[in-house]
Amino acid sequence: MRIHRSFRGALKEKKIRSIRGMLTDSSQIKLFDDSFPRGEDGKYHYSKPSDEKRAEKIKGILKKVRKARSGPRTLRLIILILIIFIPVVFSLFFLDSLAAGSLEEVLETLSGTDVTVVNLDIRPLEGSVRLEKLAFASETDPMVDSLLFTGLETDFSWSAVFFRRFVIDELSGAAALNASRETAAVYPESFEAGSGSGGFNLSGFQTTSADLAELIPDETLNLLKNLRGSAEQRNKDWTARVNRESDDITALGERISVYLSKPLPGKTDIQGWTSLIEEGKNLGGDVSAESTVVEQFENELEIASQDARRALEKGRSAINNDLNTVQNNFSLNDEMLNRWVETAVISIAGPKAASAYQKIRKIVLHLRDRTQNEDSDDSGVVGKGRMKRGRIVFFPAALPPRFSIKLLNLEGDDISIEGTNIGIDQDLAGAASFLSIDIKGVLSSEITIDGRETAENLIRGNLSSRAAPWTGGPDAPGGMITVQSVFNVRGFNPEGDADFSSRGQVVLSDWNPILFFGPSTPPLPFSYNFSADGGKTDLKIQIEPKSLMPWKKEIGDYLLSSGEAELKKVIPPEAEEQLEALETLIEDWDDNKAMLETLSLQLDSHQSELDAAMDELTEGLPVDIPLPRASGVLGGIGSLLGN
Amino acid sequence: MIAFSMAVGITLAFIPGLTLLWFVLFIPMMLVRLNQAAFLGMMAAGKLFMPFVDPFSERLGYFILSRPGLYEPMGRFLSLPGTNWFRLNDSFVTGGFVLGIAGWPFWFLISLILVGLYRRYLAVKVKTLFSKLGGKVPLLKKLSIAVSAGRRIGGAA
Repeated sequence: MRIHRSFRGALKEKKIRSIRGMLTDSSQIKLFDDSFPRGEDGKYHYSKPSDEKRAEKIKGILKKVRKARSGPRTLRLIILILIIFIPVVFSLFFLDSLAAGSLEEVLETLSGTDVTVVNLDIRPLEGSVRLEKLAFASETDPMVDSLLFTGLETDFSWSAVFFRRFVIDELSGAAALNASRETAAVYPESFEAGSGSGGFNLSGFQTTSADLAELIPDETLNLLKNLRGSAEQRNKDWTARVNRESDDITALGERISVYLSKPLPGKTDIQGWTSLIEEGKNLGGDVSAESTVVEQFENELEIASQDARRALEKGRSAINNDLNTVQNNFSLNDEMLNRWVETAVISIAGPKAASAYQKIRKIVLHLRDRTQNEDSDDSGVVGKGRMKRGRIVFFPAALPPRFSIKLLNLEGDDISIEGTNIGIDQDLAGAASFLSIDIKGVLSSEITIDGRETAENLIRGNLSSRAAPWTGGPDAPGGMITVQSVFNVRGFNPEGDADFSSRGQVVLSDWNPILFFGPSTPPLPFSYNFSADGGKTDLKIQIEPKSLMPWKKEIGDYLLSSGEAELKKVIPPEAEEQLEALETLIEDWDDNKAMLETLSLQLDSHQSELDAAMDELTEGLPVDIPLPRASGVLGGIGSLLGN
Repeated sequence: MIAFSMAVGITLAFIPGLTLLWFVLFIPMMLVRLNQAAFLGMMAAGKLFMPFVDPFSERLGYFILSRPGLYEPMGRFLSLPGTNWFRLNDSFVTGGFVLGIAGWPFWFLISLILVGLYRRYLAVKVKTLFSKLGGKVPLLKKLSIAVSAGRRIGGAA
């Protein structure tokens, strides 16, 4: 039976006095004094009592003394150190791999693609972090890294860490685009290849003759029929009247012939002369009347002919109007073309823009979640952990920004990323942040982040691309895109009432494949206005009418070439017949005109014969009374003769 | 001693874990003479009830932190290096801290009552139960002896 090891060695005078002071029973003090006699060295050594009972008793006393001692408990301290510091030491040893895994996971969540982190080296004492390689796999080709950073080096500020902030003085490294990978990318489970690419559906260009036939109205045919019917009836009536008139003129001619063949009366036969002159006068009046009728026919002929021509024009015009109506129904006017292009662009770019916005929003909200879950001033936010339930109350403390990269410089052959004061709480950094991304020959952008509460925009920037390739999707056209745009973000918060807007000019060119028409597709310039409010996005396209002219021409040519034949098919044969009939009728009118001329000539001949007869009569008159000429003034004879 | 340890355990249960404030209080408590079983046990048991108390402690913390008189002093305090790790500008941490510290006498009183009730109504039954079980299971017998020895050495509260 052994006493505790702390009493086995030599005890000093002070220790002995301390133990004796803890004992109250005199028998216990005596037993203790007997068991620890003073040695020659002046120290006290344990001397086991010969009696077993006394030895047991002194052991119990020493055990109680030990339990009742004051001062730190070494064993507890060791356990505490093991509990608390072992994880810390473990983290220090495995910090690099743990941080690399965590960084990879976070970046994969944010980017949605496979992220590779190689050789992350954190040196807390030096305050530096080095990363050999950080690669973001291409979303379309698993053997390509769309963005690759190598040799990343950064120094962080320990003074900021004391304030629970993380401030990087400088982050530098090399960057490259589209670098080939040695092994295929392993995409995260949530990754969806080609997600966000919109379909491409160009509808509204196909028409059939069946569709068009319905567009020729019956009214046009009825109109043609009516025009033709009235013109024919009028022609018929007129012809009948002219024929009758012709008969009358023929009869008049016969009467004149009979009149001219009559013998002259004797010189003394005044009654005979008077009768002859009276008959001539009547014939002259008849000739004059017939001439007037013929003139009326000529006038009527002219009017009827013009009416027939007008009817023909009206018929043709009705047909043309119908054809125009048909053409308008399958050709493109400005509004229709504008709407079509807008639909096409939105169908391609809408999902992409929405996808890009949601990605940015996800990143921002994720960052805010990381940095603000514990610093949220919103009582409504209740997270999974207890620490996510609190609200931060802001005090006028002089703090560094929560996260900041004072100087960012990533350079590569084909990409350059530069920035100052990149991070969160730039108002605390004393300056707005500035980020410039330049993908050489393709894209350049300048972004300013201003986190101050009074700032008009949280993020604002501009982006311009110079003929970057684009595609609408696997089966959709693509080409080159040139963009000049500005954008701004007024706020992001977990409720989703973010206010993001972007507007700019876009030119889509070098279409591949060529759309529908000719040897090439014209470039398509348009302006856009993209806005997002929380999870909702809205993309509006506006196209200048002038810029649509080449498209209109191309589309018009296409439609004409494909639609002309169809168009002709839809003119009913009956309409053609009616128009031809009207044309024939006009020709008939022209023929009638010739007949009238004949009649007129006939009348002139009769008039001449009558005039000659009158001259003859004048010469044979028994009295020297001149007879007026028959032409137009025969009626004067009557007056001279007392009529 | 047991009631004291239990009250300290309840106080630490109120404060959100893995904050610097929690460690600052936890480490000394591990080093001083306390009934560690009561301390750790009560802290673990207290955590089970915290979801019911958290809303109240958060509102209490926000009420305290939003007092105008605290604005300037807290600003100066949080401007000191290292103080941000205490996260005292978080209503939840402050609420838990104040509720734990200010309510300590109350927790101590409750602990005393609980220990008294245990000794009066449950201690004998528990000892008997362990003795009976100890007769059948040697390990439980040793445990029963250890509990008895611990009570003798640790003394009463």
